[in-house]
Amino acid sequence: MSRNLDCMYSLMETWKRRDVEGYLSHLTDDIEYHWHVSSKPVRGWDKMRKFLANYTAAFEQREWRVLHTAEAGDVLMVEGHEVLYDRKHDRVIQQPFMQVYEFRDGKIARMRDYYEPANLRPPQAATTTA
Amino acid sequence: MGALMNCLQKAMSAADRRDIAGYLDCLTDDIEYKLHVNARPLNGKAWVERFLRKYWDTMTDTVWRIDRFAENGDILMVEGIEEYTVKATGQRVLHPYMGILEFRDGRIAKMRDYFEMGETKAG
Repeated sequence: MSRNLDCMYSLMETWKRRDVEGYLSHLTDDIEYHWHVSSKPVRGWDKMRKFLANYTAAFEQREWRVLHTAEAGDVLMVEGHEVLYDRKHDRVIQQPFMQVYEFRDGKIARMRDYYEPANLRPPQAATTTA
Repeated sequence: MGALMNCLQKAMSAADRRDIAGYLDCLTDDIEYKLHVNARPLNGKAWVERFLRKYWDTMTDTVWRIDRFAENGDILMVEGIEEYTVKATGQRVLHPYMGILEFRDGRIAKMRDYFEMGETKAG
């Protein structure tokens, strides 16, 4: 396994333990994370901490599976599947995704996620019953 | 550049020329194309051809650009953009996307694209 691929799997292990500081240790301190490619990125460890706190308040990630990977230099691409529990709406979401990681000096410097954000939005019933 | 990316570039060039036969020649007969993760796949060349003809009929000024790619065995992954103008409305649409292509005997056997279906205006 390559160093970069090993780093990604190690990052996943820290997240399974909800070890935020361990997770951050896999990222450069100027990490740029596009959790949604059309939104402005999360930049730096402090913003990542806030993002992760908000994310876990909204969702419980029950599965994070890697299906395929490919590497070119310091770029690692992934196809995967995650299963999320939407705490507010009490529902389980199946979320296929792809990700690209860019590494610098053995750490993740950039991450971009590609998926269908509509899958995460509140179900129609939840938005119309108030 | 790897052989898989070469094959994709051949398909992209054919698409740019609106050369349907040239594009389909890059695919296996049993191609399975999932153009969006929530959609059912297009199965077989005839279905892909119908999709492409409709796409080319309704969109213009199309741009298909690959910014990064990586290969692993028979797998090719790409990151790029797709951009087009909807003829009926004149709306310019930009989709940043990632795709995965699985090859068999030098041809694309499976393709899956990941992007946000909601149309994003360019610029």
